[in-house]
This record gives sequence, structure tokens and C-alpha cells, in this order.
Amino acid sequence: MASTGSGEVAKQMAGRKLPWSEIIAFVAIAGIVLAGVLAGVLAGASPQGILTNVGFYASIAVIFAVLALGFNLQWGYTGLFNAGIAGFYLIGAYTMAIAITAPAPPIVIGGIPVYPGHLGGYSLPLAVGAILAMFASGAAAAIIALPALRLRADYLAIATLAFASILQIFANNLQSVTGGAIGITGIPKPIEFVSADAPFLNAITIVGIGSAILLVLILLLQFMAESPWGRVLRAVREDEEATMALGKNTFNYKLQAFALGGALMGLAGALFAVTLGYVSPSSSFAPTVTFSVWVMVIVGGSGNNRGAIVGAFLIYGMEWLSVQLKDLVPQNPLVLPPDLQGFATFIVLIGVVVTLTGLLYIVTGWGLLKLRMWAWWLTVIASIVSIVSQLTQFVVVPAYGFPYLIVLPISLLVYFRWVRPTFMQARAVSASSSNESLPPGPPSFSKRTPSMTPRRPVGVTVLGVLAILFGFLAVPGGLVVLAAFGFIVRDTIFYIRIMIIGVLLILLILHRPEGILREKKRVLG
Amino acid sequence: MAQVSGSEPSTPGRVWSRWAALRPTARFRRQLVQASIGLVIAVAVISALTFVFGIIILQYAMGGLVVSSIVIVAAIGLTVLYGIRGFANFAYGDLMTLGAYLALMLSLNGLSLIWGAIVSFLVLAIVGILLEVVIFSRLEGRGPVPPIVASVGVGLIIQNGIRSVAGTAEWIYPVPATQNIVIVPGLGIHPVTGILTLLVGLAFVISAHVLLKYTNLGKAMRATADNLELAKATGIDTKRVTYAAWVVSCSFASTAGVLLGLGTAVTPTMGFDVILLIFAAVIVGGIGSPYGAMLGGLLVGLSQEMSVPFLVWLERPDVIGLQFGSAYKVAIPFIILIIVLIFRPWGIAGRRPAFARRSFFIERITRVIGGERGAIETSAGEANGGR
Repeated sequence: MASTGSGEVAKQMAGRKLPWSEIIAFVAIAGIVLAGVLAGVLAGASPQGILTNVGFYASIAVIFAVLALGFNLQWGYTGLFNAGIAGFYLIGAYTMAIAITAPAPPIVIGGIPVYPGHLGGYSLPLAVGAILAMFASGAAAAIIALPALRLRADYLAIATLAFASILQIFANNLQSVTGGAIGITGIPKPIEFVSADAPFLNAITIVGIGSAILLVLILLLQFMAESPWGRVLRAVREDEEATMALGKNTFNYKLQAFALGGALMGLAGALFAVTLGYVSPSSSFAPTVTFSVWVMVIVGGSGNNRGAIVGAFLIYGMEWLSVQLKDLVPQNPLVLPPDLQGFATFIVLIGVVVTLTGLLYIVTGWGLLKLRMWAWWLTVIASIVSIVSQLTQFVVVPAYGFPYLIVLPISLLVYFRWVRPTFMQARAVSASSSNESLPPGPPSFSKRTPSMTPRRPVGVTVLGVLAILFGFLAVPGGLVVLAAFGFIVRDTIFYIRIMIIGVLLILLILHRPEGILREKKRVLG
Repeated sequence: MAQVSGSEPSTPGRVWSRWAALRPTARFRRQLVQASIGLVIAVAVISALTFVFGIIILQYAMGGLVVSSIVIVAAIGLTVLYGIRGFANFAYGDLMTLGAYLALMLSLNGLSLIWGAIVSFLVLAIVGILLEVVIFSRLEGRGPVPPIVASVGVGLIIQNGIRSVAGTAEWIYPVPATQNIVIVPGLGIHPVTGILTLLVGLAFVISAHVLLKYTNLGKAMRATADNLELAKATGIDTKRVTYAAWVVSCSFASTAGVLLGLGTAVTPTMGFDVILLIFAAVIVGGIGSPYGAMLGGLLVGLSQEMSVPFLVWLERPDVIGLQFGSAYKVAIPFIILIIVLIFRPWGIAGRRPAFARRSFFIERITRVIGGERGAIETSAGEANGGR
């Protein structure tokens, strides 16, 4: 089943001209930037301010791209799962900061220590600092990998996660080295501008330097991946025992790949220190950074450098957009008549449902029938949650569940009366047809037979793109409206972003472990 | 699950009594000797520390026992799932948070906290089965990494869902505020956060022991954790065992979350903050071994709390003048974790896997110390998810 099916699919793929997945990815990035610009215009920022902001987006996205490239080298090529990306990032940032800043003595005002000072103040050139940062991170990666690399992947994940959290404790408390909770400030810029539009010029410089580094890195990594060395790494990923049997010292290769990946993360940290001008043990090095980088690499497809970069721009774009949207929300909530409150919540939920169905379609390739099932289930779940939270009065901000007292029975009725029977019928038909045409073969990994996933028609893909674009307008807009009228706390926008990252992690690992930029594989591993 | 009691040959004519598991095997006797040696060493260390630091060290030991009992409840739940499903559930801390918030929600709505905890126990069991059905059953046989990624996704959704619904404020359980019961001057224990937590922890340890040793389900669970293929071939319904593991794991998580919330406050990150402590306990004890998890939990909790006087001593300017010394107590379990990973990656109570590769250096050191050699057995984790 698998072999004949994949042959047919390969022929179908060969006939297709347009790389729809990539087009969708770029449309999504463009949508993010446009939405951010729109938010800036609505907030009344100057054109130069908006451009500076977009430049900030590009520079941080480049940093995340370097992180994603490092993780891709470790996981995508070699199969070493690193859960402590934030730790190596932190080492790089602090090493850079300590190396290139001017000396900063402790500040004591009136007997009260205001700033504890920090180690270093060596005022080294930027390039030297970056090399030191790479070296420190790479060495740390090698040391943490030594005991853990001999074991299974989950030991390595736990050890690196523990390492990252220890580092955060140290950064917070080892004041004489790291400057404590305040961190290290006054990190010099690559070029010091004095004119009025210095922020804009700085953003442009940083973006230029970052893009140049990224370009060099991707060329280098692509070359390394196709060299004999990279081939051995991929062999280790596919089958370590077989590689060992061929006479390769797999432990050394794994150690090299892990240390190199760690060094790249250190470089990202160095770039981060220069971009922001300060480092502090805040949310910049929280575990969420690690998880975001995972999503970036999985979206692009593990083992795909270009995909890692696209994923970084896409996923960091979401974070950037959520910051822009939060700025758009006024501090004091506006007043809305109570009749409209439930209605506004309902509109946002519809937007969420439509976007999620579009995303589901893009990610999983499920047909419209199954999409409708999901849409109905989402409506039902949302209704139940709203009603329960309304009844229990637990939530801090009321959720206005009463409209759902009407929505819930209707959606249940429609689901059981029309949607489910149709789906069952379709499944029965497809199951019987697949039984006739194909002999029982080995169980396929994704439980999806080729006959159940027909070729994606162009029109439906366009619909999916439209759904995502609609989502970029409806969901953020709706959230901003809700926050502006005080129904949800402003920070909820951030939490929803992280929840979307969680949903993406689960959906991608379940249905598209090869990433959305690649053609779907029928059988993995 | 390391200890499979039926190591004696079963003769066909013999009727196995229900309490056959109680018969001391050679393995059990060896473990008993090891445990008593450990106990003697622990008592000696604690009395020596009391002699050096005074009665305050006993107070820290008491705090360590309370922390240990929470960690043990959580670690048993995590390790049961780890052994049977063969992956590290990174969402475990957030499942604990979810349990704590469910109990809080019910107790804010007029139910007593105990009923809230019981309802959240049941709800989390259902959540566990749903997680297995919807997500994790589809990731079976794809190695250890995809389930880890998916579980991190689940954790992010739970944590941020709680943040957006209940806010980020700290909540305190409505328990009566009482004074510590003074045992000896300078040594007291709180009736709710101290004694109740200890008792609940003890009850969960005993119930886990009874479940695993004296019920058919427990036997099936241990067999599945030991060797999945063999268990299937024996006719064990491994699907049912998997669901049972999820139920045990998630309901233990809920109780551990409530206990954790009793001790401090209920916040959206309370579970995620202790997940590494629980992982340390699980790995130190040996993955998949509930008895190892109990031992590991005790070791991790006690060492974390009892390191405080030492760290405070390091804060003195004439020593090394460490700032915020007691903040580093969280790092102590990780140091133990790293040491265990280097010398005994299969855990202090686990069994050495057949193909464990060690470097020459470590081989020599362990031989000198007198570690056991060449036991040709497969550990639970290797058999389930590894290649």
C-alpha cells in the first residue's frame, strides 16, 4: 500500500507547479507585517516610527532564525533534542554583554545598593565579543551533552531544561557577575548615531548586520549539511547503530553537532544583547523561548534550514503582532452597552473558529467535511466553557455565557442531525473503496490512506489562505475590541498567542511532522 | 517498575496465593538491607547535622519531609506514565496546576476544599483519558521526542488558558489559619500544610503500593512497564493498562497540585516551577519505578530543604560571601540529577539496561566504588520507547 501509494502521489506532486505551502507562508508573514503596520497607523505613530518598529521585528526575527538554525542542526540533522535553548541563548547574551561593555562599578545611594555592578567591563570589539559568546555557549553545550548524549533523547531534554533553569537562577542571583535582576545595561551599538532619527538608523544597521550574518550562516550550514560530515549526522539521526557499524564514532559526531548548535545559539544571544542594548534575566530567556524555537523548526520542517528561517519570521511575527495590538488597547476600558457584550464575544469566537478551521486545513489537509465537524465541536466546547464559567462566577472578568445557552442546543442539533451522518457516510464510502482497490498492507504511520486524502484542489487552498487572512483581521481585531471594552485583560492577548503556539505544536507533531513547507510524506521513519 | 516479584519458577501444580508477592525474594531481601543501611546513614547524617547546626536543622528536615511527600505523590504519577507509555510528560506540572485550580474553583463556590480536591481528582482522571485518546495514542511508536513536543503544547495551552480565564493573581485556599504545633521549642509543624500533607502523601504511597502489588491491574501495569511486547503476548490488554496509567498519573497530579497549593499559593506557574524537581526525583529513582520514585522524591526534597543552612553559611562574608544563598537551593536537586545521570543513568533503584554504554573512566570509577556489573536485563524505558 505504502510503496504504490507514494509512487502515485509522487507523480501527482510532479505535475503540480506552484509551491502552495511556501506561498501561504509568505502570505502569512506579509499579513503579519501588514496587520502590525495597520495597528501602528491606528495608534497614530509616525511613518518613521512604524518603519523602526518593522525593523525591530526583522532584527529580532533574524535572531530567532539563528536560534532556529542552531536547533535545526541539533535536532533536524542529528536528532538531538535540546530543551534548554534559552540557557545557551542566555550564556551568549551575558558573555557578549560582559565582554563589550565599559566597566560598571556598583552604585550605592544613601547606603542603599541601587546597582550591584557586574563582572567585566572589558570594552572589547563587537566581533571578539561575539566569538567569545559562541565559544562559551558551545563549551557549555559540550559539557552538558557529555553525560546526557549517551542516553535516550528524553534524558537529554530533561538535562538541558534543568540546565537552562539553573542558569536563570544564577543570572538572577549571582549579582556580582550578572548585575542581578537589573542585568547589564549600556551595551554599545555597532555604530553610535547622534542625530534625531538615531533609533531608525540603529534598527537599519542591526537588520543589515543580522541579515548578513544570516546569509553567511545559511550558506555555511547548507554546505556543511551536504558535506560528508552532514551525511554522517543524518545517518546518526536515522539509525545510530547502523552508523556505528559502519565504523563512525557517532558519539563524537553527536558532540560536535550539539556544541556547534550551542555556539549558534550563543551567537543569537550576542546579537540579542547588541540589538536591545541591555540584558536582564527576564522573560527574554524564559522556557517559552525554547518552545517558540521548537515551533519555528517544526513549522519549517526539521532538517530544513530555509524552513527554519521562514518559521522564525512567522512565529516571532505572532509575538510582535501581539505586542503591537496590546499597545493599541487604551489603558482605561471604554463602556459598551451590556446588550452588545455577549454579541462581541460571539463575533470573536466565530473568528477563532474560522481561523482555526483554516489553520487545520492548511496543517492537516483534512477535507471540508471533517473541517465542519471540527468547527461544530469547537463551537460546542466554547459554549460549554462559557456557560460553565458564567455559572460558576469564577472568572475574574465575566465571560458572558448567556448567548451560548441558545447557541449550544442549536449547534448540537445541527451536528447530530446533519454533519455527523454525512461524515459517517463519506467515511464508509471511502473505506469500502479503499478496501476494494488496495490489498491490506503494513499499517501506515498516519493512519491515512491515500484515497482518503484526495489531491488538494486549488480553489480550496485559496479558501484556506482567505480563512487565514480573515483570521489575521478578525481574531486580533476582535481581541483588541474586547480588551478595549474591558472584557478581557490586556495581557490575555499574550496568553492567547502562547496558547496558539501550543496548539501548533500539537497539530504539527500529530499531522505534519515534516513541516508545512514540505510535501506530505505518507510513511515516516 | 523494577520489582517484578514472581522471579521464582512456577510449578504447574502449585496454587499461588493472593499474598505471594509478600514472600521475600532474594532481591527483596537485598533491597531491605540496602534500605536499612540508607536509613542508618540518613539518621547518622541528620544527628551529626543537628549537632553542628542545632535544632534548626530538624525544622528544615521537617520542611523537607513535607516537600518530599508532595514530590513523591507527583513523582509516582509521572513515573507510572513514563514506564508504561515511555515518554516524559512535560505537561505534568501544568496538570498539577489544573488540578489545584479546579479544587480552588469548587471551594470558591461553596464546596469544602476536600470535596473540591476529590472532584478535581476525578475530573483530572477524565482529562488524562481524553489526552491519551485525542493526542498521545496517535504518537505511539514514534520514539520519545514527538510525545514530549505534544506534551509541551498541552502544558502551554493549560497554563495560558488558566492565565486568561483566572488571571495571574495568587489565590490562597480557604483553610483556617492556625499556629504551628510546637513539638520541641524551636521545632514546630503546621497542622494543615504540615501534618495533613504528610498524611495524604503517606496515604497515596500506601495506595500506590497496594494497587501495584496486590491487584491484577497493578500486576498488568508492572508487566507492561517491564516489557510491552511480552505483556501483549501474554494476553494483557495493554490498551486498558495505558488508560489506567493515565488515570493514576493525572489523578495523582491533581492531588499533588492541591497539596502544593496548600503549602504556598495557587498561581498559574506553580506546577511548571516544580516539574524539574519531579523529573529529578523520577530519574534519581529510576524511570518507571514507583518505589524508586518514592526514594528519589525523599532524597530530592530533603536535600533541597536541608541545603538551606549550608547555603546560608556560604553567605557569610568570611566564607565566600554568596548573595541570596538560599535562592540556590532549587539548584541542589539538579546537581544530584547530573551526578546520577553520569554514574547511574538508570537510577539508584532501577536496573542496569543490557546495552548501557559507559565511558572507560566512569566504568573504572564505578568498579572501584563497587557498583553491580553486567546484569543482563532491560530497563523499562529502553524496552518501551527506545530503539
